[in-house]
Amino acid sequence: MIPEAPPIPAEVHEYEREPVPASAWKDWKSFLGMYAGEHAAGTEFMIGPLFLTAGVSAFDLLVGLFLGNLLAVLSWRYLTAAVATDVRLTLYYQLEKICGRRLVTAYNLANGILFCFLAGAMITVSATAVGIPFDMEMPKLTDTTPNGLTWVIVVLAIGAVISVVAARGYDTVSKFANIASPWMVLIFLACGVVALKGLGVASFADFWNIFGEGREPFPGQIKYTFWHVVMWSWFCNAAMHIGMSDLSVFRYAKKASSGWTTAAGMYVGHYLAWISACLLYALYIRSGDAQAMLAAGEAPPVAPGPMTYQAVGVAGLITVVVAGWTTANPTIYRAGLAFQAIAPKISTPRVTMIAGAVATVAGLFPAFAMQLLDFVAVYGFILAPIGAIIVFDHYFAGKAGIIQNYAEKAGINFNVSVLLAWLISMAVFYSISAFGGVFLSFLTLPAWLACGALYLIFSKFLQKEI
Amino acid sequence: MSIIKIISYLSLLALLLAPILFYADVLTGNQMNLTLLAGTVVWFASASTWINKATVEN
Repeated sequence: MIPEAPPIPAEVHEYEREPVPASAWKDWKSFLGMYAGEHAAGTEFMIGPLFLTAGVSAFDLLVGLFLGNLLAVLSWRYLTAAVATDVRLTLYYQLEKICGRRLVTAYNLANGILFCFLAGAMITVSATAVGIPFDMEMPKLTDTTPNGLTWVIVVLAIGAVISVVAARGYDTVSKFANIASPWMVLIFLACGVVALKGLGVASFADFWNIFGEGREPFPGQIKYTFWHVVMWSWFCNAAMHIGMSDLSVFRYAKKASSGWTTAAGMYVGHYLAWISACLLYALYIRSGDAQAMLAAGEAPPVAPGPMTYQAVGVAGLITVVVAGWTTANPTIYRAGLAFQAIAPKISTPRVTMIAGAVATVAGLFPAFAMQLLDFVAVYGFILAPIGAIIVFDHYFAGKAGIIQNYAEKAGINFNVSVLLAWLISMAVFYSISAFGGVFLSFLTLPAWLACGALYLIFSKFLQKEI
Repeated sequence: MSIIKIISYLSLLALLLAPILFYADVLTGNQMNLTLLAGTVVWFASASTWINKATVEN
């Protein structure tokens, strides 16, 4: 995950406003299982097939994903884990020191809303499995609005259950997610193996030929090249690594080298699971129904429920529901916490229910799931530049002659330099994407670098002597 | 290692082997689906008794 929100370990609620002491540091093994489990989630069932709809070739998919995931791992290792083991603070407290409390509130709002939309996509994924016994019509790839009453009822029911559980029993689902992780990875693998047999793959050459040199993208999709795959897979979790969200996780690491454990998540969830889901869809589009749709100029639906049911039966359906549920749940909980930081007088259960309601409404609209590649790119693009503020303040404040952790030292609630750097970098590079037709993930790194550089420049002029 | 843990790991092994045996034409599709479902039930029933305790201890 995607860009999926990691489950919140119990210890996140400790040392929220102080560095994690050495007695609480953990070795790399503590992070290995966590990352391996977190990145095999409900959204992987959508992302894999969407690569196929974008017409990727075998080389683009296999080598592009390998390289993109490697760059993501390096970002976690040499940026996130390196800064985290230096400062040992949560993202929010580190940001507060630099930006001031009020600006962190703006970040929380953006974070909370994006989390809700992400949870909505996960509810959509679960609905494609729950709807099967009701003979529900599956949303098409180009659908943006609900396609019928059954869809609305199924999504509302799933959203209500997930929201109530997130508000009332977060710990139970968190424990359930721990149990589900290894099982889910094996079911993903099973889906891939079954799809290989269905596609008649007997050698690596057969496997390569499934994707071959690529094809025209499906109606409504854009063509992905090698570099689209590399940059997208690098930055789909941009908020977590270059966006520094995982400071909150790696502040517990004994050494920065624990950052290498993210490779488990990338190569299990974002390589094996994506390719398995992609193979399932490749099998589906060879069916008569899908071929008829393609012949009529329509894109066959990406519906994880029916695809997994066809491949591995009831266990597949259970996997889609559990994968969507266990990842939507912490996402809604985190969105609730982000909103609560803005309105601290509202109780946690109530604010979580509000976040759940927003996510459920988002889940009614299949656009968030069907255009997940685009949404995830936007998600990383908006949140990642804030990480540049932290990195540039940490490494370059002294060389640039500005005061590190300025908001804390100056006693201010709102650091204008940060807001200007964030808004200008986002506005400029998003405009280039929107009006120049440049793929957004190509601009995430330039926006990140520009945000960091602008922060140093604005700080140089706007910081006052203390 | 307790019996219950061994049962859990065996269920994971079944989940791993079932699709491979299906690919090798040793199991039929229905047999594989049943094995996956049985492995799922056994994993959740057995792992729920120890996996979170192990996480807390860790």
